Amino acid sequence: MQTRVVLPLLIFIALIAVLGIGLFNDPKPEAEDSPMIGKPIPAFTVPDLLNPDQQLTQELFRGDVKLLNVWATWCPSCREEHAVLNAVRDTGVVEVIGLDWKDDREKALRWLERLGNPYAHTGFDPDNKVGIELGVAAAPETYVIDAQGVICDRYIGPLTVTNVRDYFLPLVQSIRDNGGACLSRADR
Amino acid sequence: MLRAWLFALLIFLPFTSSIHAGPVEVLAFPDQATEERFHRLIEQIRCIKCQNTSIAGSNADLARDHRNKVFELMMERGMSDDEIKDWFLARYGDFVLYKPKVDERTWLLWGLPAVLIGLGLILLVVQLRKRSQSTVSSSSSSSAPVAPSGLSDTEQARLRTLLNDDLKDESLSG
Repeated sequence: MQTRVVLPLLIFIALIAVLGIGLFNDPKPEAEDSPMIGKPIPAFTVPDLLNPDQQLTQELFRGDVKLLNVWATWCPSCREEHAVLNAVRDTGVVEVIGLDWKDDREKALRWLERLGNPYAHTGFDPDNKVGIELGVAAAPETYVIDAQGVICDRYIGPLTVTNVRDYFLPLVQSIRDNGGACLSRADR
Repeated sequence: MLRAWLFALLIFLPFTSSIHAGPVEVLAFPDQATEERFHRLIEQIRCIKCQNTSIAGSNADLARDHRNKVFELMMERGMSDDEIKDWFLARYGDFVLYKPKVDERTWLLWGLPAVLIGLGLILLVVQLRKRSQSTVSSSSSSSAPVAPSGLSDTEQARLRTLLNDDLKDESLSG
């Protein structure tokens, strides 16, 4: 007799718990959810931010592992991570390619002048032409791209000293150790 | 009184205009059907930056880019609805569609309601049968495994021995 009262109550409480968790969960995808991971970087042609006459293409990502950093001057977290990017440049361990996303050229140039330019090259993508092909959802985003131009990983959010030291640089090293090719997520 | 009404009107005036002003920009469609198709499609694609809004309902800059992309894929590249959805799926993942596709990862999501309804029906049938059986069982003893008293044969036997024991105990003490 007692289970008739207790059981529905327990089910009700469980339901409230599940719905409560769902309510407070951010449904936005995790960084590792990008379906682009494991695929070659899509073909693109984008003007160089510093030399608008020069065009950058996906060929930029051939020969060695590189990072692709999506940034914009309107993005506060990009400012936050800029010092970290400068530090990565100073170590010389890995080249970082920038993609100035949905931004204003004048502002972007001033930004690099004032804060330093950590990028080997920067593509200028004011109309989200390249960003949309990559599935960029927010800035900053950082992609790890192997020597064949395959996207190994994507990270949404600012680079920090910690995640660069503990995650990005070891990943770059592991790709180099693997002959420049991405390791599948399970093999890392 | 009139002043109060005017005041109320003034308070609500800012809301009236914004309610129906959708974020969709001016796009040139060749005909009504194409425009309707476009609006149906953008209702099904999620705004990546928003909490829970389609790209049709969001004023976000990124949602506008995506609407324009849908338009471009439709008009310039002549893609079908499914091809356009696949295009977004390949770049933004399952999250971008309100109705994820049925595949090896999502079959449980899609199939669970049917499975649960099936289980519920089975449970219902079993319960109904049990109920009808217990009312009929008193008349047809052959089909019912349960004795009229609700005890099985072994339980009946055990009850008999227990009762006999009690009787013996009573006779001993008495």
